[in-house]
Amino acid sequence: MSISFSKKGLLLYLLILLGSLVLASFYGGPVSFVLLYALLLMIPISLIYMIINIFSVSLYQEIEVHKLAKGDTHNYRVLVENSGILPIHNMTFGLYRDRSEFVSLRDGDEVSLDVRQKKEISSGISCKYAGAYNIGVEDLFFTDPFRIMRLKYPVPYSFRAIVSPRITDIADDFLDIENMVNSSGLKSARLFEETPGSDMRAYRSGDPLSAINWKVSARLSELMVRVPDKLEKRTVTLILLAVNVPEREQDTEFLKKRDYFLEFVVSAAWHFGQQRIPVKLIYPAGTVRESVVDSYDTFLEFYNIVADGIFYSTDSDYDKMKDIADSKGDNWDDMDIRLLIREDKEPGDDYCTVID
Amino acid sequence: MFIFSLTCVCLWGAYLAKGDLREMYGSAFVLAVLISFVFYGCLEHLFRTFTGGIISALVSVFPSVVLFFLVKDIENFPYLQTAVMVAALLRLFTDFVPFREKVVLFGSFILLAVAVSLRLSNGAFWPEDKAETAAFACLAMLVMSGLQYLILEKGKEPFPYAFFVVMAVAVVLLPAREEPINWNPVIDAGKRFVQRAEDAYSDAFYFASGLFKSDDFATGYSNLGLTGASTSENNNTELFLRTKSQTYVLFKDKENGKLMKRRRSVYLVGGRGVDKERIVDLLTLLYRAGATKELTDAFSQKTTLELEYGYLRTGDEIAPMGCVELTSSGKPVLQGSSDSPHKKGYTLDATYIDIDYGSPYFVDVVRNADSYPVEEISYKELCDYGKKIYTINLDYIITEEEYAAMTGTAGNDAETMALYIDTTGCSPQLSDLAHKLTDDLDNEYDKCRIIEEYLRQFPYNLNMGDAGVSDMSKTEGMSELAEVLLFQKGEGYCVHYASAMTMLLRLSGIPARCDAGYSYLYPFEEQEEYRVEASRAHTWPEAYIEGAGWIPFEPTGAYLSAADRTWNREPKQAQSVEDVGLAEGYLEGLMQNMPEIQTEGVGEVTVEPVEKGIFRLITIVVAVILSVLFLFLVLLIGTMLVREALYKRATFEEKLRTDVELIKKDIRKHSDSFFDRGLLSDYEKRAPEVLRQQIGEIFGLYYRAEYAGPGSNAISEVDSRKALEIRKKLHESYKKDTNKKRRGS
Repeated sequence: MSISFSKKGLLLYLLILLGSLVLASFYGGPVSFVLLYALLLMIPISLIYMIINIFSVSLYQEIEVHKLAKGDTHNYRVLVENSGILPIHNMTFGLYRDRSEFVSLRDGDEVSLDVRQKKEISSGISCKYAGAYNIGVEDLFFTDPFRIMRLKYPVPYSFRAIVSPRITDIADDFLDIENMVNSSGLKSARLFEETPGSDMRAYRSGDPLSAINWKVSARLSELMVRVPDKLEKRTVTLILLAVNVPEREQDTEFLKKRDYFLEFVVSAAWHFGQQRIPVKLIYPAGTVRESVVDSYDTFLEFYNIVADGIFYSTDSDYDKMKDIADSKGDNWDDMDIRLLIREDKEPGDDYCTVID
Repeated sequence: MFIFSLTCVCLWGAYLAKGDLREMYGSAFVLAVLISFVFYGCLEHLFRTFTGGIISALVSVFPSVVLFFLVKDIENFPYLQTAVMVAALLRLFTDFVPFREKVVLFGSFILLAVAVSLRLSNGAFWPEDKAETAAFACLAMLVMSGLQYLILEKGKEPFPYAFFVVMAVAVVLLPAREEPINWNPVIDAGKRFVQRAEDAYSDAFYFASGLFKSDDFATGYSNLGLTGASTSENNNTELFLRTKSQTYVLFKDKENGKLMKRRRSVYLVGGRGVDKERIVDLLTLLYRAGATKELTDAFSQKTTLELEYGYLRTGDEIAPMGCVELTSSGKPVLQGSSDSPHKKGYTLDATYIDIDYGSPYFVDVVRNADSYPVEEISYKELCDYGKKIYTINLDYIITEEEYAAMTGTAGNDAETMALYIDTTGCSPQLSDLAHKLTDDLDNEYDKCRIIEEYLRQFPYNLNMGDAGVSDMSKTEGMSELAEVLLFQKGEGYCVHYASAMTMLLRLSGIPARCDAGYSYLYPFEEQEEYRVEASRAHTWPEAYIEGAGWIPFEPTGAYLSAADRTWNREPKQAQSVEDVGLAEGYLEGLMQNMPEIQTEGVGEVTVEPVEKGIFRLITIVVAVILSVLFLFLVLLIGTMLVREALYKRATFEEKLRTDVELIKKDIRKHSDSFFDRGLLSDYEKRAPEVLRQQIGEIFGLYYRAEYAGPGSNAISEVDSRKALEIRKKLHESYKKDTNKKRRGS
């Protein structure tokens, strides 16, 4: 809670107060003393009035869906109630304007509530960035009758939106440049590719015709099929080095970076998914976690958690991620291609780099 | 509120039209109108539930007719009839007036203007009458609400009226006085605050300097240096004086007959204590002069004074001139100075004979001292005389042997007196001046007075930068100082004046000496205590007049002379000035032939060297830094002690909470930074392995204390001690690790 004063209002008030003090220093009686007392009491009584209003007001915010999509407009509703004994006059909202846009609600919109009155305000809302952050009403502002001071009250429970990133192709250019498909011959880490092998067995119902070895079958006068071998596989690993910023310091700049980061990650996962190339993702989610995206289902699984699933619970997790990002081939498979995606890239660095 | 105010204002208008109405229609009438109005309003509200607005409004006032007849004959409340009818009319006005909100809004402004003009022109709205004050408060709030609505809201939606009602109630509860604000208590409080701040600073500096045994707090008169170089005015409070005697005298001005007030003064001497010699000389003089009590009361009185040492460290016993009795904490003080220095808070109770040295009666007695019969006065006779004149017990002050020794060898020891007549170092110029001043005079007192008046013409200046350094304790030094004042600079301060007068007196054949101490002039307002600053330190000459003893003089022009401080008292019996022999115009006659001032260089103002100013600034800055550090240390230690004390007095649960918080603080300090999720487990896993389990147990106790229901076990003394023990072990363990790392590095 903080109080700010209007310079002009305060100056005028002090001048009038000084005048009344001078008047009361020369003339006694109710004329001068009533004026003096009224001016002296104005600020404290206004403050008490506003504080009572704060304790009386209840705010409830709601959006029609649990998970939002970036850029989409959703229905937003805020319900304000005055449960106290004093009316609330010209309370204004302070909105999270840096990260969301409202269709019919503006900063500075005034709301007055009588005793025990409720009001519902509806508007459309669209979120500018992907990630998990507070949106809607951030603060409530109260003023005294003569607008000398303004009390800012942060809403105790803001609406926390989980905004999923768009699925775009922003990562394609980065990933195509590496020309990885041609040079690496990527294979699934889990799904084993069936290649023709040298072992034979008798045909069973259901075996594909392409597996029949006709030469051997003719020799043995029996349909014989080849038993497939499992090929060695190459893997791709994406290391998502997110920044470690405490929640209370997550400002608009952070949201922008996170938005781009998430979109890039999703785009990268989608890029490989489309080409049926499985990819391992190492990212912080409370602890250092690994996920594999090698199908549409696994992509959806990852997509559902990515908006609010990337965070650090301790500094040591961040250090671990950095160690993973900095490791130069120790304990890594030679067949593995590791891509580092830095949320907070240094000037001159690429957003996505291949770790040798 | 509007109706209430309207009623009050109209009533005041009626008072002015017909003055006797106030007796009958006072605040009670207004209250009756208001109650009736509200009553009609409630009825209307009730009737509205089943009928329309106009009918309910009209019907609601019908009871007024009934009430009119019912309250007709109530003798104690003769105004009730009028009240109910007025309330009914007002109710109808409220219901049927068109544009009611606008009427109330603009009507408030008009009513306020009327009320203010009634107040200013006719003194309406007495503050003692709460109802009238309330009416004014209501008007003021109505106007404020109106201004808010018109100017800030621009006619949209006014601020809730509840706010202004609360303001009005609060304003009415505060007293509205008839007299304007009296700022004197505030000013006095401010002065006291500043004084206390200054005292606190001085206390800190005083005690700090005591630790380093510095000489910073020697007496102001010793700090004069008695050297004649520049001196600056130090404002440390060195003495606190308390007296029950009046600090001023009242007398009638002889020219215009007006009653005048004059402040008294006191000379405090350091290092002398009880002045036996002076009191014996005085009593002897008065005895030989045949002075009666009525005469002596005109120029002397016994006075008491309590002295408390302030920012001072000295062994000197500082007492008023003419002290006859000196005690400290009830014990007599026999010596003039003590072996060990006295510090702040040391008190002395003094009884002294305050003499008006400027009184023409006293002057006459002194002038004629050598003409009184030189008879031997026995010890007993003198004691009886002292008791009669001043109600003092001379036998407590001086023994018979001491008296015999004092009077037996015809006065002061010749060797001692030789010191007071020594004129070593005096230049011929000085000798010439002395002769010029005094050769035409026969009377010793007159010689002293003319020298005093001659010196008082010289300007006073504390900045004697390049005047050179002279030692006033030696005759040569005094001669040099006299030369500086009289023939070189033509200005100086008390040291110069006192030295000059002493040397001139000696050159004129009169034994003279200098005394040092303080000269304090009481303020006009009587106070509980009086502060004597170091700047009041002073030195003055005394002349030994045969038959009268040591008589002080004031040649320093910046100080009031004895004549300027005289009490202007007349003896109670008719004993006029002519009878006593001191004629009017005595002083003017003396000064008629006084020579011109001969000085080569007239008062060159010297500028205090810049270096001294910078040094002083550095001293002040260092003193401030030291005192801030000292206060910081006190706060630190004080906080620790308070914390310990609070912990000792806390309940077991509170102690456990404190211990847990301190454990968390320690763990946090010695771990990597992490986000506090409010879970104690995060702290537990970061605790040293050796103590982890025990800390977990303590946290368990904490959770039990915080969250368990009323049926669970309370925290016992054993639990609390365990928590304290674990906390200390953890702290020790971290301390050892830190020391190991330091040694390792």
